[in-house]
Amino acid sequence: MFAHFPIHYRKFKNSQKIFKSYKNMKLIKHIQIPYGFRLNLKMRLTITLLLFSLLRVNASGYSQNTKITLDLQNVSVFKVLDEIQNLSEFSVYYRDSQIDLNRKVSISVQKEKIKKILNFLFANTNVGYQLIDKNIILNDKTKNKFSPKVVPINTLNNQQIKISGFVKDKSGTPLPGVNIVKVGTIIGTDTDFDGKYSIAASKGDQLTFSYLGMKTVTITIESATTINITMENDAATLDEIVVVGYGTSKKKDLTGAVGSVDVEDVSVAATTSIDAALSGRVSGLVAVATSGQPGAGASVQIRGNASFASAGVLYVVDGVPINGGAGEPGSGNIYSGASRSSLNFINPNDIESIQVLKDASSAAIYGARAGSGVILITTKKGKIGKAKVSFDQSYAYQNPLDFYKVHSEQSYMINRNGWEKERWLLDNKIGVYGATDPSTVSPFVPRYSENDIQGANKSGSALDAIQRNGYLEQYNVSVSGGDENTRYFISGNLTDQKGVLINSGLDRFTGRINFSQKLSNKFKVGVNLNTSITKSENPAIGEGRYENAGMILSAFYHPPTVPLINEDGTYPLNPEYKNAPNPLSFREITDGTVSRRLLTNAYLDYKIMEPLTLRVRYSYDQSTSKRKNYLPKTFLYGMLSEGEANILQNETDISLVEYTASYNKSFDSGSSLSGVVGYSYQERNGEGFNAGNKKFLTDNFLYNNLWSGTAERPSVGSYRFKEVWASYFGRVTLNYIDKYILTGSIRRDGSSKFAKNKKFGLFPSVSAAWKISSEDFMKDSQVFEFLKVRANYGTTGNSNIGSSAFSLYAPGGNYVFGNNQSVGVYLKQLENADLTWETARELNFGLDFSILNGKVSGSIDYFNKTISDLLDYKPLPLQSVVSGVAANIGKTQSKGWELSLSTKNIENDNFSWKTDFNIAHFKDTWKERSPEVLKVLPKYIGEYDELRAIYGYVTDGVLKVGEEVPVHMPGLSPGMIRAKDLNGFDEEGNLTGIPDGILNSADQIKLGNSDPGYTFGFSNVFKYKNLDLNIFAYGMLDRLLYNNDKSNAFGQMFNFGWNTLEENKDRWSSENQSSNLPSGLPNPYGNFVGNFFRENGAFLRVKSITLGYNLPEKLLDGQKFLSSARFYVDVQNPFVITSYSGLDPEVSGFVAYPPQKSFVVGMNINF
Amino acid sequence: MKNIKLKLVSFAVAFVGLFLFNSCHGDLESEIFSEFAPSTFYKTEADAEAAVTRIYNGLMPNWQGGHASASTSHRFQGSGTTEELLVSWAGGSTSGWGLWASLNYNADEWNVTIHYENMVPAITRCTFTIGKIQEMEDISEESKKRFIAEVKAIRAHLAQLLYGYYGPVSIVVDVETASDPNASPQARPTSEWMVAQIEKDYMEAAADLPYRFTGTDFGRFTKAACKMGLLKLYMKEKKWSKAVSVGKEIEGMGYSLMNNYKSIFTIENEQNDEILFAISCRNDFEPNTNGWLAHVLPGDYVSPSGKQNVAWGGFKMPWTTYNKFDQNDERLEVLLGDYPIAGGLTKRDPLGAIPVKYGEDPDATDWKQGVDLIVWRYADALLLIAEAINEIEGPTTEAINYVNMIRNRAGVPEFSITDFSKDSFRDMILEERLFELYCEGIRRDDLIRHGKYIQRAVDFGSPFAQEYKILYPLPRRAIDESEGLITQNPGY
Repeated sequence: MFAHFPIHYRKFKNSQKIFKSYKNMKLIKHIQIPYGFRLNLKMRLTITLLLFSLLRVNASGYSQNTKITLDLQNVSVFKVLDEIQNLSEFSVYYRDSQIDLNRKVSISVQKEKIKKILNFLFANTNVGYQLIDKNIILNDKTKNKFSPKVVPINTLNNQQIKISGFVKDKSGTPLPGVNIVKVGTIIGTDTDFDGKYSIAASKGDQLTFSYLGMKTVTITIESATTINITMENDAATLDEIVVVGYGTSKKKDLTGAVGSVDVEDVSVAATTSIDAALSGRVSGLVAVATSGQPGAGASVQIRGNASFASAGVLYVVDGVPINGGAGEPGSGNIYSGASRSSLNFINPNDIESIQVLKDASSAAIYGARAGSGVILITTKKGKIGKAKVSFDQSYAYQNPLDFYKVHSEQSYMINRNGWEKERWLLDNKIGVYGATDPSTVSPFVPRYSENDIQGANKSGSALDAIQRNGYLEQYNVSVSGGDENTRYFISGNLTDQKGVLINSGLDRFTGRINFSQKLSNKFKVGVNLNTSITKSENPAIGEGRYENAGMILSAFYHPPTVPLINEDGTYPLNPEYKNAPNPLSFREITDGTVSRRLLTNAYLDYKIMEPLTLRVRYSYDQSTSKRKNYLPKTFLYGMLSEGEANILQNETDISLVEYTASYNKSFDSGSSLSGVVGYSYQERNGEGFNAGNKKFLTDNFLYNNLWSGTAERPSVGSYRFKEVWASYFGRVTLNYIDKYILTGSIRRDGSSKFAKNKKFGLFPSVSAAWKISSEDFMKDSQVFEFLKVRANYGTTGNSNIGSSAFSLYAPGGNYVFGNNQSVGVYLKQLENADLTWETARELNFGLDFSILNGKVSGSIDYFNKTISDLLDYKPLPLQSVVSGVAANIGKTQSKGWELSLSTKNIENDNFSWKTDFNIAHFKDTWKERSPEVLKVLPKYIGEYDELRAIYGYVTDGVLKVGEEVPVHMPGLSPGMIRAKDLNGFDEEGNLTGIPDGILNSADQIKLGNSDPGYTFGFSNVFKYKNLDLNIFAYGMLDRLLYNNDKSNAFGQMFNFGWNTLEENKDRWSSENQSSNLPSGLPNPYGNFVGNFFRENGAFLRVKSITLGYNLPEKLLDGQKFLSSARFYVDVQNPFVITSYSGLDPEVSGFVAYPPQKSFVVGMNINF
Repeated sequence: MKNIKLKLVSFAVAFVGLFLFNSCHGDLESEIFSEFAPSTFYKTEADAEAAVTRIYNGLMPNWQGGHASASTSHRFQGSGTTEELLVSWAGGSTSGWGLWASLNYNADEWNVTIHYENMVPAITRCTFTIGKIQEMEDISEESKKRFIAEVKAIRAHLAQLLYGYYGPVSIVVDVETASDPNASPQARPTSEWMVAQIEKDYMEAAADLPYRFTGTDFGRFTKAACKMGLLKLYMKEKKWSKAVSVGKEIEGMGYSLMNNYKSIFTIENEQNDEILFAISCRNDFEPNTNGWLAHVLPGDYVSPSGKQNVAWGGFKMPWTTYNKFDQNDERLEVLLGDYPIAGGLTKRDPLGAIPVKYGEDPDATDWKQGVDLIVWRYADALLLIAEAINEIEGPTTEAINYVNMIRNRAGVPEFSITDFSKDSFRDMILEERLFELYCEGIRRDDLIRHGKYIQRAVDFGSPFAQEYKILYPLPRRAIDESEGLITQNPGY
């Protein structure tokens, strides 16, 4: 305990500005705040300390000689000390919890020495003081004894040696203003502008190095006189500054539920967008990677999703909402298959921090767009100091984590013979299927002879032909730095990914400039510029079936008896089904998308007076995405169309103007008042164009000469849209004596989508926090270092419904007369003048704590969110001209809790181990459905069921020989799945609750919920000397999944000679009657046996294991070139533990692009 | 360095300044760039024509339904529920294609309830459009009349299809109700009302439509098509003399049999004299496209023309049906017992013969073919007249002559009046209609009219064939949303 003693002192000097958290040091000092209030607090402190250390002059004897005159009546001790600082060069340090600064005193002295003044001031109190140089140190006499070793700094005695060195952060940036204190004394110093320090100490002394947001380092002096220190971020610290909408807050002062992602620990070497790396990082945030395709994103949900109109999470990058950029265009041909993250344009390496505004009170400041939660991304900014150059390179070797196992040629022949034999038995009603005498029907002839089977391949499949080893390499360079007036951060990133399936890949360049310049004491400007160009190669995949089968399904289907390529270079087709292309022939397709995005964001700050700053921000976000593809004649569909070319383009321009005024005022008592009001106007304009042609003379032109195609009617299309948002918003935060914090915010949003008097929606929020640990009764708690309870209530909105609420006639429903196409026009939608915002109201209770000296910290939250006026299309009666009308159709509720814990299990000089764990639970249920919806709701669906409940029939295994055929399933044969008759309909179509001997939809029940009951993340970081090991895992529990792939493999067994999953070799047959898997023969009750292939979707995915090595200081000493170097190896996605038998429990749907396992080697070098 | 910094600063200042002046603030009015506000539509003749075009879309709502070829089409269901078709895809746990031959459907089967969901609102749209066109001021009375006549014909046609599937159903023929999105569903009408409504619409439409549309208007409803609709209606209602008289009207409208059966269904002979009503098709458009060949050609079929067709290999005519044909019947030219495969060989599928019927579109690049889909043709009308005459007065020379016109064209021996009693003539004509009209979606109506629809499925061995399956079930939603006012068909 004693080792930490000095840092509990707070520094106290001239009182214009109080920084309450320099680690636990309090500093009061008059400084010119160089930048506006928005400046990262860490930076401000750096400057403060820097100035402080520069101003300090060696003034031995100052305290003896200086005389002060004071005349103050009935003021606080604080005020007196403040005045002393103002009038003199003294600095005051005190330990926060021990000194009562609010005590009222009157003092009137004429040219009195400081000692006398202090004696008077603290007479009959527990406060003691010491004077060292120009420093006044206050403490509680009764608790702390000053070390007798206290000696003035810079006074070198005989036993002491001069220790000097250099302090930097992990990336090698010098840290100015690091506080260095000799343990057990108040002797100390700060690092200078270049991060250098020197101090006198004796052998055996301990020095502590502390810096805001960094872990405190303690070293013991031995023989070395040069000691360089690398400080590491202390993410768990409660003093961390987090970005909230339109401002920042200290983590410990937060009143809402805000999750932070520790970006430092997230390995981005094998991903192209940050959303894919968010899974398991923040409690309550579910990011499911639904495809393994290069550039694919994740489907991100915060606290469930109880809305149908949900526009998804709102991403705000450096204050600019970035949703709504130009999306990936369709292909124009029969294949889709481009799944892309909208965050691909942001280089993950540029990200400084990510905050997740989980509850409505935090998100309410974003009003109508925050209904699904908000993710705030802050990019890196330059820091004061010399230019720092950072270079990262990584190479990830990738191969599929798992891929479908289909029959080898030999297995295919055996199983197809067997299945056809079984079908022959069934069709002719022989053996277990009936009493037909086999001699009376034409005999069964096996398709493949014993010779064929013996000569066949025993391994391999067409799926091997479309797989390959992939890689992802990244080069990342950044230059950053700045001085008191200018800050800059410039970066470039090159990413090149070769996908694990043929024809898939991604090439990306991103560039960023973050620049800010102080023009005068009043004005500051800043520009953030993010440009990116992504070139992706699109494999023809997708969920299309039969003739629309993409590359993966075509390979899945391809009979192993048919070669992949002929000797003449042509691609043979399955002779029984010539509509699916040869899987290998997909490599002949050219299909690429080029996406560009330029996001410029400029702001001007005008500090009207000390606490009040005006900001105007303008951002312009241009994005285009252009896809070009060509199906050549060497590919089946190119052959049929004699070459097919398409060019498709989407363009979006989003402009945003925002005016904000912020107020930040601190009071002597430790109270503060801050607020922001603003106006924002956003306009989104989009348009698109596409053209295509067929029948080309040659494949050589690809899509580069559309005119040369000779299709009768080349395809062409275009569209345009415009959306407008106007919003007013404001927030006030009152922190009363650092114990009680109250925040209120309000936003008024207007959208062009609604009718005149429904255009604006109002979204208020209020939240409060009580820092119990600041209360007197908790001050001496040995357990709680920090304890805060929060309660908040907020509202957010959603207007994401179609293009507008107005009646429209639209072109469509064209028809052909003669041989010409005529344009039809129809009443597309009806007006709903009452259509209004969907509003989410959320109540959240939370608890933040830090115990055992910070060893364990965490948060617990409970939330209850109701979404009312749900936006959706209300069904009109079947007879209506328009099938539905946009309406507010009901109310849903999301309830749940979240827990996150950070523990520092072991921390010593050589070894440390920290663990982060989070778990969350939510449930989305219906609370109210509109009468129109209720009327047509299938009877088996409960009015208040879960939103994503899964309904189905209850299956009862496979009918075995000798078992009775259920009366409700006449015609069922052995080997087929039984379904249970559980219910029936009466004449009005209502459920009777009684089995009626008929299998129909009355017999469906709720089988489960596709939402996970629990999501969790688990991260461990170990550090041993220069080595570090990071293991991260996440998962989901209590989740029902439908195994589409398996259902399909059993449902379409050997149709058209298609290959199927190898596991169906164990199917039921008259020769394998003990099997519990269906026979795959034609089943008259196919619609009723769905749930047979439903499985438990729980899983634990070990996402990454990273081992890093930092070059030791010793090696770096004595040269000026390199400031730090780190090398690492990383295994991404090594394995998943799950009982789910499909491809992957996260990858959704049917024949998906497989997720990859990556082996990464990388380095990070700073100059 | 300082220079650069200065430049950057001035850039930043300029940047901010520029943006400040550029910002604009709209008044949150929605701007529509590619659609019509209600105030801008139903003004010109082109508007009315576009609205009517959309009404035609009710005949072909998508490539699977309406008069197309896939699972929800009248063509497929009219044949698939009879002895005409079996589906190769009826394997596996997707029972969708397997249910037809055994009549294994109930009110949860969307393939049978979808007609209601498609056509009931389509009829309301007809009524709505009639109302809108009637209100228009700036178009000629003549155009108005023709547009309204076309819409009424379509309304009658859809109502008749609905009547065939479900019996009488509640449809909106009142303009005011059609324009009111909050109008509540009405109870089902009587058969008499339904039949009268269909008859009235067809008759009113026929009065204002030409005998025939050709060229770029081909595919529109004509007087002949209206009369054919009426003929079908009278046959269904067993109003034999009305059937004969309307049939004879059709005879006088200039339609005739093609000389060669196969040539009726080819792209070269589109708009031929035998076609009373068709859906014009293109090979590059949906839904007006012909997907029949893709549905019937087996995967290993090799076209004599050398063209590679998309071949899904679904539909087959069961051998028991195929074997009823006279082996010299020219109609077998497009119903292949043995079909050509690679190497100049032929193959016989164990399930059945290949009802190719439609000719290839040489320009088709995928499953979509441009050959017009025939809904009704003259041969059908002739056989119906013969059937009606027999019902009135037994087998007459006149009746047998109609049949022989068809048989002559097919190259099979003529029948003589002495071969038949009234009953055997009836059976003969049902059989002849199979040979002539197979896979045109007409069989279901024929079997029902002859009382053999359910027996056919029983003979097939279906455990699901019960008398009530003559009518399809209404969607549960129709019952639910009317809160029981609309009643389900019995048995479901």
